[in-house]
Amino acid sequence: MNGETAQVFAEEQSINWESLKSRCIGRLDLVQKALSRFQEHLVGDLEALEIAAESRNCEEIARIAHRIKGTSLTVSADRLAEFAMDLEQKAEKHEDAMDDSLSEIREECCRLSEAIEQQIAKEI
Amino acid sequence: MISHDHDVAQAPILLVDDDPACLGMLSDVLNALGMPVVTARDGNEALEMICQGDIRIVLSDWQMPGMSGVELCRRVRQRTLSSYVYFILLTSLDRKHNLISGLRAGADDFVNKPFDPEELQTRLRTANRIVSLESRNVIIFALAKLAESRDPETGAHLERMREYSRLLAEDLSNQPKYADIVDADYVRTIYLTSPLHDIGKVGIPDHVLLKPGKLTPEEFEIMKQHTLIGFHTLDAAVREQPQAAYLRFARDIAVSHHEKYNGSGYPHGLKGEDIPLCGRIVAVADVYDALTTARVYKEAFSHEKAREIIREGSGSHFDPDIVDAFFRHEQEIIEINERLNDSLVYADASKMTPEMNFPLGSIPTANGV
Ligand SMILES: [Fe+2]
Ligand SMILES: [Fe+2]
Repeated sequence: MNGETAQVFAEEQSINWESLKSRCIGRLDLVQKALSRFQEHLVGDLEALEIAAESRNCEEIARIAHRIKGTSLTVSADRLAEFAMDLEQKAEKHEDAMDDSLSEIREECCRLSEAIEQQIAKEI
Repeated sequence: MISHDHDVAQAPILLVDDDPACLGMLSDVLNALGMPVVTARDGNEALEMICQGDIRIVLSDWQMPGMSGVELCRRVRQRTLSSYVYFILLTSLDRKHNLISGLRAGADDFVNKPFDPEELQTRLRTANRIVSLESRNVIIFALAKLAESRDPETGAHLERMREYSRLLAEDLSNQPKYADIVDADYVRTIYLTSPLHDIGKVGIPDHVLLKPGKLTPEEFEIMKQHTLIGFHTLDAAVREQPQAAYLRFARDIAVSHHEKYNGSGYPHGLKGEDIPLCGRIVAVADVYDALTTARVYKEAFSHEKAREIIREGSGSHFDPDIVDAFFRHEQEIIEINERLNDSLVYADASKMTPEMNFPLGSIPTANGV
């Protein structure tokens, strides 16, 4: 991907590839490793989040959302990080409108999986 | 400019983060940049690694369940005996971290999360430069060797002494009675400072210090002064730098390593546990080494003969607990004695004591030990 197209698509992309690549000092093998590690942990975190949401356990929701935010930021999944931060803040304030954030997170995670799989397929 | 980055070996960096994805990525990237890293998943694990190993640079997440990064930093700063640990805290942009509380806990630097590799590398280089400025360990040993250079008890006495002392202290750290006093820092510090025990001998005149054979009572009185000369020298250093606990440790060893458990030693005739523990440990190490080493005026005793003298001295000359420690590690003591044998460690030892015959053969240098 060249810099120009990255600029154009940055708004719509789930992952800011340029920033992820530079964090991995340009090494694609490290990008791959980071992404598969990210995906692996995201699956578990999402499951835990659903369980916590069902039981309306705000403390647990905030904790998991915080973790998702941190993990997302490392791989420059900035949009997911934003949604997760939103949820974290709502859960901390015990707000009711958490469902919206939750579905945003679910949708974004689907987009992310796709993007990551495409990217991995491309590199291999 | 004396020091370039390339001249300074990179000390291993301890990464602490509860988030395995962040931890993994950080560790991959730093490894790729040629920096050796070790990792811990929480504060307790990290603290354990810092205490056991020789970690000089820590990069820790701020917010972690259980012990936070700030608390970890505070605990690291409470260790008064150890070398300086450079501590960097990772901060997230959305949290208003109270940087003052981080600074108060003793943090040296802050790095934002998610990290920028170039910035991180630069900051870690700074960290490495700062910890490598601390040359106290090698200076202490050089000082001890300098003092010893006037002394006929040359050879690898200091090298063996510190090994015996470490071994005995390590054993005590596993005994319930001493577990609270003797920790990993204590063991490292006795290894570091025991070579200074006879530093006061620089103040003993040649006709006494270098006299081959038995000293007259008057000469012996002069010889005893080495404990007090050592004390005053190191005590001046302590007053200069009161926060340096290892200097106090060295001073206590210098003044108390000739005290005897039953109170018949010198210079103060202290008894039992009034003698600092470090002095009681070094006493056993020092005597055993003196017994098993040849002098101009005497042959080396065999291990068997030396061990009997140590055993007989239990409770009178030596602290029985330390004699027990000695016998729990007899085999290792014999090994140290053989491995750091004077004739092997010092190529020119035969020139210092011409009466003795040393076996020929390939001779490694002291540095290689
Ligand atoms: Fe001495
Ligand atoms: Fe000695």
